[in-house]
Amino acid sequence: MSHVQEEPSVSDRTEAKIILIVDDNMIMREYLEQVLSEETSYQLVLVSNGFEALKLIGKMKPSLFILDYWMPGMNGIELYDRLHEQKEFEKTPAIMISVHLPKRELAVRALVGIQNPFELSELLTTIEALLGNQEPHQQETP
Amino acid sequence: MVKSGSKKPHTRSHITSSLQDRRQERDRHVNGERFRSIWEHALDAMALSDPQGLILMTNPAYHQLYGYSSEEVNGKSFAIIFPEEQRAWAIEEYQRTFAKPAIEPTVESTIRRKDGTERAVEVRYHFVLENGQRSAMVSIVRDITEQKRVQQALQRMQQRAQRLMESNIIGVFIADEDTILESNDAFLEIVGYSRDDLHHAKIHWLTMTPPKYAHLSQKALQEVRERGVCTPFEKEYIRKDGRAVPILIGSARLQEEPLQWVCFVLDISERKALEQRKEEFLSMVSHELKTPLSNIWILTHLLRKQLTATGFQDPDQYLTQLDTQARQLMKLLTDVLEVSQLEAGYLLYAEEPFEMNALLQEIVTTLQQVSPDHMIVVTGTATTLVTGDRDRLGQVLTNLLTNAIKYSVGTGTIDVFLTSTDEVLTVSVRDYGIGISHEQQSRIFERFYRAQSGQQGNFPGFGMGLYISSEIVKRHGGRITVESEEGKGSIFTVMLPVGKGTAL
Repeated sequence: MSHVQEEPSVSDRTEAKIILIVDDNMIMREYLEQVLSEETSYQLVLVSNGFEALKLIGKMKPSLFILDYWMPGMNGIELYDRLHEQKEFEKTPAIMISVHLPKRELAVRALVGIQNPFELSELLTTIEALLGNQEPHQQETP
Repeated sequence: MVKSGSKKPHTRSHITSSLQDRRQERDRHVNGERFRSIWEHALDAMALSDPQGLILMTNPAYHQLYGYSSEEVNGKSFAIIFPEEQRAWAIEEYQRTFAKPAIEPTVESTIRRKDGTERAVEVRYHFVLENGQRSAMVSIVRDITEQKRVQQALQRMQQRAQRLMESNIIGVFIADEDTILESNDAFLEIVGYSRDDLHHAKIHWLTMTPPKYAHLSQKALQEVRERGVCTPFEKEYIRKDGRAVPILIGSARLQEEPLQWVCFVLDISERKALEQRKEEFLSMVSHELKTPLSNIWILTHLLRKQLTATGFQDPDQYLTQLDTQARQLMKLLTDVLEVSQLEAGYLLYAEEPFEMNALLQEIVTTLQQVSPDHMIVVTGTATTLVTGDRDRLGQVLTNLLTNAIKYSVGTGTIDVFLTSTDEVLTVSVRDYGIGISHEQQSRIFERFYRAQSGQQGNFPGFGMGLYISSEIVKRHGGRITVESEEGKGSIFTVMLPVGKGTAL
């Protein structure tokens, strides 16, 4: 986990639905990448700030955003709003994972808050609730 | 009328003229009586004086007003009622008035009574004409001292009220149900309107109030109607330039029908900005302290995964203990930050009606999973909704249940009772653990207070949970109580006022 992330990290599952993860905390990115690639079959794209995220969405169409709240330059709520301003992502679900959740901001948006530290099972259940039912996702072949 | 004897009978004309004389005589008498009655009972002082200024007649009201008897003034110059040094001037003035073709019908002046006291009067002069000549002057003098005093008092009050408004220390306005009728400059400055806008009735307090505060304003109006005043509250106004300004406003009723009220408005932008900065600071501190801690916790997980993958067995569950300690520290940190937020006066609460049964069920299910040694039994249901912050009240219930579990190791059952009436919803959490001594019961809701006893030495925490819980309940207009007996267990009860709507 000591590598510096210059390029967005993209897991190699080109067919699967994409989860875009935006968090400035490298350890958190590392953790989410590890556990989600093991426990789910979604394609993961990880970036460290909102500006990179906004650049990327021109090139791909994530089905879920997982956002941190406190990030330098643009916080998770601002990023959420800018992502959802775009017609294409108007209805794309989002999860906010943070040690400090802005509850009032969450309450007025379709944004699920997960207080960090969290149980992995809680995150997995939430992801499934938001993505799982839309269409059956491809199971990872062992 | 028949008379006998030699006397010459009256001629008809003689009889008639005699009758007329008598009738005239009687009429004069009647008129004289009428006049005297008016003269003697008039409230205004009246005097009749000749062209030289000699007093011919005065009425009792005159004697009462000036303090001179009839004998003292009648037949004397009217100048007698003036102080010695003014008499010559008064006579001159009198004669000039007598000669003037037209005179002021009413003049206000001050008189000095015989006893030296002064009275404010209103005097009306009128001339009596005989053959087209002014033969006498009637002076009618009305005592207006009391009227003047009331007028002056009224004026002083008006000036004071005016002064209060114009002091411009805080914004003041007077409004009816919709429009602002009067205001001071301080208020106009707060809302950015001009006096011209005010004069053209362009300032409507209702349209100036953002929709999210409309219910607060209506509540205040209701309170003013019913109680005459309303408790000051915070809201916002939309200024003429469209900017929102946070204010503190209190009001009182001036008039019932149609309703008029006076409002006092304080611009609290600076305080709000400061609060905002404090809140941001606390958020920042919270983030900066929690992030490394969260990373420790994450790294523990990753380390465990990596070690497990290489076949390593954690002999004494060190990694699990590390995980527990990190969580514990996180919980304490969260509590400390929450207390500082409470102290700073915020932790804004959502105002949503919600269903307590479901919330309780969620919490019980979660806690049951992490504490399989206890059996949490819920009895009863709530039939009404609670209005407030679901997350915060959930935090209270979690805290009470966690305490119940923590302080009743090995006793098996935690009972939760839920009931509701039209007014109040009650949740009680009962454990059968170590209990709390009587002396300590009154203090456990205090900040940083922890029940102490030999048995409790090993329980971690800063003693903030119950303080935070009681603050949250208080802010919902409810209360929290405790009943306990050492060695037998405790019952914590939360009572909350219920919102409108039915749960079932």
